[in-house]
Amino acid sequence: MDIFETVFVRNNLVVAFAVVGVTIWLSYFLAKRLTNNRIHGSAIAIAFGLLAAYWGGITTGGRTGVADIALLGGIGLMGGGMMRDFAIVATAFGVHISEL
Amino acid sequence: MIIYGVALLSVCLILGMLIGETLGVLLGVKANVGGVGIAMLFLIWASNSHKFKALVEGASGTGIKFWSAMYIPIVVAMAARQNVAAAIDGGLLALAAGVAAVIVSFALVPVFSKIGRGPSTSESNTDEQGPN
Repeated sequence: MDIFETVFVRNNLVVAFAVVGVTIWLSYFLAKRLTNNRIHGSAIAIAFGLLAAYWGGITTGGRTGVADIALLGGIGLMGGGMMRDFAIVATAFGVHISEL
Repeated sequence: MIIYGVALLSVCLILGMLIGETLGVLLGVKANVGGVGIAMLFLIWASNSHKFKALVEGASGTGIKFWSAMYIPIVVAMAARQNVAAAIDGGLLALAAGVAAVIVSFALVPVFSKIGRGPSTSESNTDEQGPN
């Protein structure tokens, strides 16, 4: 158990990528199977995220949702302001000025 | 080289943030004013300029496209680190207002889609989509 925790805490951002990836996969699967893609998978994934944040908040009493759980601390970095702004700016790529 | 694209993206963001912070100081606002938007304009300008062609085409471009595709996963991570417990504890009214707004909006979808079809309801659904 100690080894488990050491690996997860030391590689917390990588753990976050894996956890978010699995969540999104599950969400898209549910979106397709249960709602016939009427509700987009990303919306379900965000709802899962909020549920997880609620659970993290009530179990740890902290203020950053699921990121307060030591094993999932990487979620805090991945969902932080820096990564958010970086990714938002990247979405502007590929816009042609002539199309604006 | 993928890193060239990532570096271009980073430089755009840093320049935008610096300008945003400067605007905040000039306007007397303790916040970043439009930094992300300015950074996006820089990136759009760079990706359309011939001078930066080497940084936005081919492998370099995939370095930017990767981060663009990571946006939704990052938003999911953002959702997972919100202080939802406190929001539910302290703001039941706000929560109820939000849920009510969503329910009302959903209820209005059939109404709006009827408006969209307009006067030609007697015709079959040949012009389901209006001109955009």
